[in-house]
Amino acid sequence: MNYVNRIIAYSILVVVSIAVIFPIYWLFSSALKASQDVWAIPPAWTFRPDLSHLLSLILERGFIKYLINSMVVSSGSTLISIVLGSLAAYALTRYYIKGGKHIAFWMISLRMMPPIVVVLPLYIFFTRLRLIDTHLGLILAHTTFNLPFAVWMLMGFFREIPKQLNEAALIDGCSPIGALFRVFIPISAPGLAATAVFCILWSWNDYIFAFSLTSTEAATLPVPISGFLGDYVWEWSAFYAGGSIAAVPIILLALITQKYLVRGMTFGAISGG
Amino acid sequence: MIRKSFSPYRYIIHRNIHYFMILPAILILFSIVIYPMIYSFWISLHTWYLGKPQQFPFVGLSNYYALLFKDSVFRISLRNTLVILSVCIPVEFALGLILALLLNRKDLKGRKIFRSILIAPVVLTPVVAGVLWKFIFHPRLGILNYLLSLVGIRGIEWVADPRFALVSVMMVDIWQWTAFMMLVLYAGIISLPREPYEAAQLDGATSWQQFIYLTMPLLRPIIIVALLIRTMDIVKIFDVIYVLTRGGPGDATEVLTLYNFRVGLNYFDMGKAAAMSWIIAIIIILLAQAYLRIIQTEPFGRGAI
Amino acid sequence: MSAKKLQLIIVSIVLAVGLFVLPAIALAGPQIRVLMLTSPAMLALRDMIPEFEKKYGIDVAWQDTAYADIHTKEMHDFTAHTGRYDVIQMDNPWLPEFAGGGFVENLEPYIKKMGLKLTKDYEKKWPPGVELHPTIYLEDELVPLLNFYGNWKGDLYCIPNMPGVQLLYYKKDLFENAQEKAAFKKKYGYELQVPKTWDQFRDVAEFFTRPPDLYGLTWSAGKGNMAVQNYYNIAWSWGADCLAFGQGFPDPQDPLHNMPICNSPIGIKALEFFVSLKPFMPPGVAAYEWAEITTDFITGKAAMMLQWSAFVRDVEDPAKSVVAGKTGYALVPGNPKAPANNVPGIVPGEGYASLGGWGLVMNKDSKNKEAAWKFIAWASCLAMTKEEMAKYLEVGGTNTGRESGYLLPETKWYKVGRYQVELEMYREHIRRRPAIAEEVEYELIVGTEVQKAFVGEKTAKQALDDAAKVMYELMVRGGYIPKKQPFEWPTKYVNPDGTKSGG
Repeated sequence: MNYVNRIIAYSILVVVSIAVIFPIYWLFSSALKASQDVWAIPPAWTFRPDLSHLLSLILERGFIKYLINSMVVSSGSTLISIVLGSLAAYALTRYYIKGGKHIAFWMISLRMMPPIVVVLPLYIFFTRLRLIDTHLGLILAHTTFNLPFAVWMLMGFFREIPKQLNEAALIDGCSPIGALFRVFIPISAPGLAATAVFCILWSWNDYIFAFSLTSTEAATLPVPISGFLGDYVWEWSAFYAGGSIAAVPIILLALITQKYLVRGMTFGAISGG
Repeated sequence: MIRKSFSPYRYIIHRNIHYFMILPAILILFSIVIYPMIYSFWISLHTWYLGKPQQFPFVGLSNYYALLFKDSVFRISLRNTLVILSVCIPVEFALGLILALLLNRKDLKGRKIFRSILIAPVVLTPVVAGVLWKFIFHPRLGILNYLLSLVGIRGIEWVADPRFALVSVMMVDIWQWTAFMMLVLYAGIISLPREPYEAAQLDGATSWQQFIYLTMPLLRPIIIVALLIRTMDIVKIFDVIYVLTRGGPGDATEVLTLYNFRVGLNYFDMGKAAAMSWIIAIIIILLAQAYLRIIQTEPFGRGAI
Repeated sequence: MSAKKLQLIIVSIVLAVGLFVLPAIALAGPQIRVLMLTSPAMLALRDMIPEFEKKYGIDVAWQDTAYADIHTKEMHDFTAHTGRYDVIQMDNPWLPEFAGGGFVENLEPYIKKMGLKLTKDYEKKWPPGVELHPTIYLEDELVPLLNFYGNWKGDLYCIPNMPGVQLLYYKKDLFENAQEKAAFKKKYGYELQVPKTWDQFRDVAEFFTRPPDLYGLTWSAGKGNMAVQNYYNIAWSWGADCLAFGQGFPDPQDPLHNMPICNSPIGIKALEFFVSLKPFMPPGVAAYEWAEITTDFITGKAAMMLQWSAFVRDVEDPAKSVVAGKTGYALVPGNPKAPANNVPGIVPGEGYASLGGWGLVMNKDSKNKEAAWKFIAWASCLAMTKEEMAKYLEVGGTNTGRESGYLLPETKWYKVGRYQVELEMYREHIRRRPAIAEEVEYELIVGTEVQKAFVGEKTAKQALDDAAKVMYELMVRGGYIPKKQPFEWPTKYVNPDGTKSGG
């Protein structure tokens, strides 16, 4: 009975996994196919790998620039969000701040905001401030989402760290800032890491801010990739290649930081974990 | 003198350090989020067409009125968004729950591999996923119809047929986000306390009974968190639909954010677009309120506040 | 302060400064920025940029983007007055929006300075049939193209560089096949030939529809641009148009002249005809974008295709296309039963297609106008010699506004028979989308309704009636019709049956 049970369980997992991984396999394998094979029906399950599309993207069309843009913007926005977010979360959880509850509340609801509310006016502001198509501009724009998110998640994590830790450090002669750096941060490192992973993920995958606020210089990966499906030209090979380039770093990151993802997904809503 | 110079400023900073800690975050958020939102609200009270920027007549709430009562496309986009919600959320929840339970079984080997595989779509850039599925959905050259033809089902126009277009969009969303539900529920399940289960075992409860009477109630806060987060995210769905169908055919897949984007950045009717974005924002604020209220009252949810 | 903290602060400052410096560096150096449409012809032009840079000593920063995004980007730049792009490629229906909004520069002074011949004809005015402004003549530019693209209130704002019109592409081997000819004659009672009328077109499409390997026709009813353009390529030749002022401009005096007439009986019949062609097309056409139509044709799945001339490049590419060298080109079919007095001013029996294609405009906020003009003159072939032009055309596969370009016998496209047909279409067989600044919205309004009729969600009449209602609101919002004036049929200009009345 248990044996049959196990078989059913495995089958479900296997079937689901295949359904889930198949499109991603399709993405990566099509990146390596020659033009004719890409659209072949019946599909070319075995094929001779053709690196020309990947190479042409990187060498001839300067695709690396977008990869670098994505990295710069993701890490910049994450850095700001983590630094400022941990300061804010620390203050909100360790100290009594008048109206602290309300501040926390609207910070959290900001995370929920649809980007469209902010994109239109930001576009107008950034144009006047000449921040359109700059790295700084997009980093700031991404911070609109990442910072409230970081505050929210970090509050959840920080709450789990006992206050006594702080007090012990203060008694030993640390200033409050010193306590923060020498004692608190190392202990909350997993929480910080989880938050950072999510911030990078969101920034990397954002389309609406990147599309609206950049054009040539600071565009992140999603922008040119969606552009491959133009109306006159369907550059499918370029799309597969570009999509793979965008997908590989982030999937690797996700696999490596899996356990942080799992922990972070609960958004501090459960005890322990 | 052992002490360093003691200035009154240092003292003030020292005493109120926590306010200073929170200040940068508040400043940035205010200038980048709150102020633009207020400005956006101000625009929504006017008629402003970006091609004729000098004309800026005040029209009060008429943009909102026109949207809610006279714009049929807005109502269609609202309806489509609700349809997607009512299908995707339950399906993702049910599948996610099943998978989470399966992944929790100690007797299955290779769980970590399965988990790793299932995470991949969650982190895939939505735009890439959308275009990828557009190719998969191609009626003649796409792999999906090919596989279906092997079992005798022919020529479904996934993206061109208004009956199927919304289904296609939902398929992509389910494919991408079921794993998210699964991860949240999984995290919840592994953090459940053991004692109740041991007690139930002693009392002779079957796994099914344990599931219904123990797991589900204990997971309630997690479930609600997951459902609400997903709901708010689906209301904001944009990337996938933009590249997959662009809202077509007809208005079959026109959703709130897509229509909002079109009105603002294609037609340049900024007043109407701002009003619409505020309507969407209000819907989400209401949902967020519900979420926070429930979290605060749940015994197991120490939650975010 | 601990050492670690100091380091952190220094790093942050360096990062912040660096982020400010990066954009400044990017803008240094004398150069112009151009924004073009991602398309085969423009990719070919991009490959020739090094020659331009060498010849004129001007640095060119090239950016191309997809159709769906290019209008948004251009309007952003204009309304913000950043002068980010010096030269912009403009889809021809946007002239009222760009020139009317004061965003683009009058090109006459630059043309005169370059020594090119520009004259204006005050006798035979423009547009034909409406005659409001002097017609502009420039060197050997095709007059309809130059004026449709760039003539705004008698001044020239745009030079066509990538005009387009739909041609009828057909598989020659099918039409010349003796067995097919015999079978066709048996079934329909007349000789199989390249269709000249819509009825013949329908018969041929039906005849060659043999799913799943061959369909008579591949086309598109994709939401917005695709649906509305393809529909009017039929509707114009039946005598229908969208607004009462037809091919002219909005009437500032009489709002009745600006009323929508898209739901006229002629328009409805034309839409029903369009929908009736669906069974002869492959599945999925209802959502096709332009490139997908070509994919069907070059994989040999369709006998005919109505598609932009720019795609000949893909069709005649043996590496991609199985029909390379076996394709014929013809004029778009017409409707001999169309009424003689019609709004779009067509000749019954002749075919008409939407004037598509793109031209180059100069941003009024550009900081390098001289350099920008040089680029425009070069990219539109105005400043090119015949040899340079032949070379560009050979690689790019699309032509410009210069008539001589279509008559170069050494180019491949002349040899396959495309240029002759294209030239003929430009001379006599083009019609224009409504000349209003809100043209983009018009395409989505009417295009969405046409698509709905095509997929069977609404009847043709319902779809066009709904489109007319929304178009009326659009015209009111645009200020062409005062709010108080209700939606009524402009019998002064158009009879209830859709034909043109006194006016």
